This record gives sequence, C-alpha cells and structure tokens, in this order.
Amino acid sequence: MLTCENLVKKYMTVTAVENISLEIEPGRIYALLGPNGSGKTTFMKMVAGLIKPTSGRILMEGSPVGVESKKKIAYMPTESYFYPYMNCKDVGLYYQDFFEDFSMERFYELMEKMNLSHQDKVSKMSSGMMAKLKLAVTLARDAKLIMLDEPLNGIDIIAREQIINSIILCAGQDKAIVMSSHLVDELEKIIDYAIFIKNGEVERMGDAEALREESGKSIVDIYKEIYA
Amino acid sequence: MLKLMKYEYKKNRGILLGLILLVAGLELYFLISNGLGKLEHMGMAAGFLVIATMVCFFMVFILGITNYQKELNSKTSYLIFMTPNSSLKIIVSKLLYILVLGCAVFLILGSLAILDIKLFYIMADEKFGIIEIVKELARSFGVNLSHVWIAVLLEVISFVLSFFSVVAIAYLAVTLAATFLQNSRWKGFIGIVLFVLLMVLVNWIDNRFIHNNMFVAAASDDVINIIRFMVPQLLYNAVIVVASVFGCSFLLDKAVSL
Repeated sequence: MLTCENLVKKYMTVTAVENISLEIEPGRIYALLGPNGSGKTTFMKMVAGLIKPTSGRILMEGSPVGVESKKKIAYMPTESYFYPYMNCKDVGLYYQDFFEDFSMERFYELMEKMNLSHQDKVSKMSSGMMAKLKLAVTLARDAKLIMLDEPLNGIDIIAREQIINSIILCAGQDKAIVMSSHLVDELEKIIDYAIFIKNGEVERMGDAEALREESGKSIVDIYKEIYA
Repeated sequence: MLKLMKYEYKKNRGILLGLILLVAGLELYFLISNGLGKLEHMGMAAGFLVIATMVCFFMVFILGITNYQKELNSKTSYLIFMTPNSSLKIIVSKLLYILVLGCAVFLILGSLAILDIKLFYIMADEKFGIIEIVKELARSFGVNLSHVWIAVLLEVISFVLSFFSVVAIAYLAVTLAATFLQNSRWKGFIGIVLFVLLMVLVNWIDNRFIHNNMFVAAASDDVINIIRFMVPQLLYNAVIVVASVFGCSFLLDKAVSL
C-alpha cells in the first residue's frame, strides 16, 4: 500500500530522517517507536504530504504522495491544529467539506463515546479533550492509511483504554494503522508490527510476534534495549 | 475552490464584522446629521467615512498577506495542506478571496458614497450634479469625456491588477521564506527584504519600459490610442500575478515544511 524508498529529510546540518525504506501493508496495525527527536513525526508528516523529503520517494498505491494520496491518508498530528474560532461541530463540518470518506455520523458517535459536546470550543479545550477530538475526527474518515502521532498523549489512564478500543474498531483488512507513541506498553497489546527508529534511521523492524519470539523479549524490553 | 474561500472568510469574520460596525456607525452619524440638517457634522462624518474606506482597503490588503504568512507559520496550516487540494488551488483561492472581499468593500462603500453625495447635494441645494462638475473639470483640462470612461474603466482594472501584483509578490516572498529559507534564523527579515527588492525591481521595469498615463490616454480622441496607452500596464501586472502565483505553487510543491 505505502512504499518508502531511501527517505531522507535534512534541516541545515541536522538530519531528521536518514535513509528510511519500508513498506506498509493493509490489515495491520504498526507502531512507530522511538524517543523524542528520533524522526517519527517527520516521517509521518512526509507521508501526509506536509513535509517534502530532501531525497527518496514515497508511493501510495504506486503513485507519489500528492493530492490523490491525501484522499486516502488520514493523519492526526500531535499538535492542536484547528482554527481558534471552531467548535467540535465546525471541525466535523470542515472535514466533511474536504474529505469524501468522512462520516459525520461516525464522528458524532465517536464524540459521544469520548464525552465531547458539539459546542465545545477548540480554543477552550484541555489537552485531553483536544486529543480526543483529533482522534475522533481522524477516525471518522474511512481512509486506507490512518497515521496517529502520539494518540495517547494527554489522555488519562481511564480514557486510554477507550481510545485504544476505538482504534482497534477502526482497523480492517483493507486499511493500515500507523501509530507513534512513547507509551510502548499500551501499544504492545494491539500492534502487529513494530518499527524502531533511532536518530532518524530504522534500528529494527518486524512482525511484533516474530520480534518477541526471536529475542525472547517483549516489545517494551526491546525498546529499552535499543534506547536505554 | 469555493469551500477553501469559505474558510478564508470564516477565519476573518470577526475582523470583518468590526469593520462593518465601524462603517455602519459612521454612516448612521452621517444620516442623523443629515436628518437634523447639521451640515458641519455631515462633513465630519463624510471625512471619517473617507478614512474608514482607506482603512477597509488597507485591512483587505493586510489580512490577505498576514493570513497567508500566519498559515505557513502555524499548526493550522496542517488543516488546509492535509486536504486533497493542490498548492495552486490553495494560493488561487486565497487571492480570489481577497478579490471578492475587495469588490464587496468597493461595492458597499461605493454605494454608500453615492447615496451620501446625493444627500449632501440635496441638502446643499446644488444646481450642478456630480456628473456636471466632472464634465466641466474635464473640459477645462481638454479631456474628451466620452473616452475618459474607457480610460477610467481600464485604470480601475489596472488598479486591481496592480494591487494583486503587490499581494502576489508578498505571497512569493512569504513562500520563499517558508520553504527554501525555512532553516534560516533570519527568514522573516529576509522575507521582508525579498519583498522590498522584488517591488523595487517590478517598479523599475514599470517606470523604464511600461507607458501608462490615464490623462494622456483620456486626452486622445482615438479609442485605439487609449487602449494602446493602457494595455501594456494591464498585461505587465497580469504577468506578475500569474508568475508569482505559479512561483508560490512551485515552491510549496517542492519544499514545503510545515
């Protein structure tokens, strides 16, 4: 579905992403793991078309990332990115205006699950509410590739499970989900594939079960081994 | 395109409402003064309305540029650049929004101006209407009024295009600062310097090679002559707008980093 070949992104003297090559296949949940500054967000933004790579190429179903790929890729940034005048309903209407695969009904359903009200103003939301809104609006799209950058950031322990369940419910045979997170233990239970990124490079990647069997360790322990 | 323009409007509706209230307040002041027969207050209100008109046009210009600059330098840019719209469509929608807004301001304030001038003349019991005064003035300058309207129409189009050429050049400078100069600590400053340099270059070419003089054109008896005097300016500004828009789109496609 998504092919990245020799992807590089440099900012002056800093290399954010160094020669990443990987494939994302439908029907799987991927974890993009690594500490802050390892290049996870830059990678996701390049796939979403928000950052142009310095070199290398990204193909979504055989075509370079661009207007057409944006119809198939739903990206949830880690930051708040809505216009300050918006309330929850405005956010849904915005997505409805621009994305054919967006379902307002599904959005309202997810909002209800996450205890968000239509009239909640974006500018007055706590970080937890904002995280829930971003997730609701992204998951309300029936996109082939869903990329969630730190979806559990700012979410309390109780709501985390609810969010993880919503993400699992969104998964399907025809779509792939890519999630980045520091909270590796929360992801361990649900991921099919793990990609460990260190200093902009893929340090290790593979099927989660195979990685566990191969090393005799959990994903959390492999994470500690790589980054500690 | 219309959807993109709709959200440009939604982002600015607070400021626009403020401007509408300002103009409505001043117009009300003018009308009350007119009703009460206070010529002095009508003059004051008219003066304020002229200032408000200039403020409105200036705001359209400033909003157009700052909106884009803010968009490229804030996280809200994800909202627009994540959508399946090309960079060209995004840039053109922003410019069209400024055009529509500018035309709306022109129509609203222009209609108010005509209404107010009529009221003023009714009250001042003038024998001559505006048209007669303009005709008299034109005659004294040896200007053929039957042709001057063509020149004025072309001059209005030229003004709009020249306004847009400035906005488009500002867009180009902002885009350059946000793309190829994104890593520079001085990108904001360099953006302003680039804008000034581009403006100096554009004006230099304009003064050196383009001949546009509305009064020379208006004095001519030949419509062809009028067009000959005005068209190069129109084409020149149109080329600047188109080149800048495609330049912005190219830069965004090649080096955007949000």
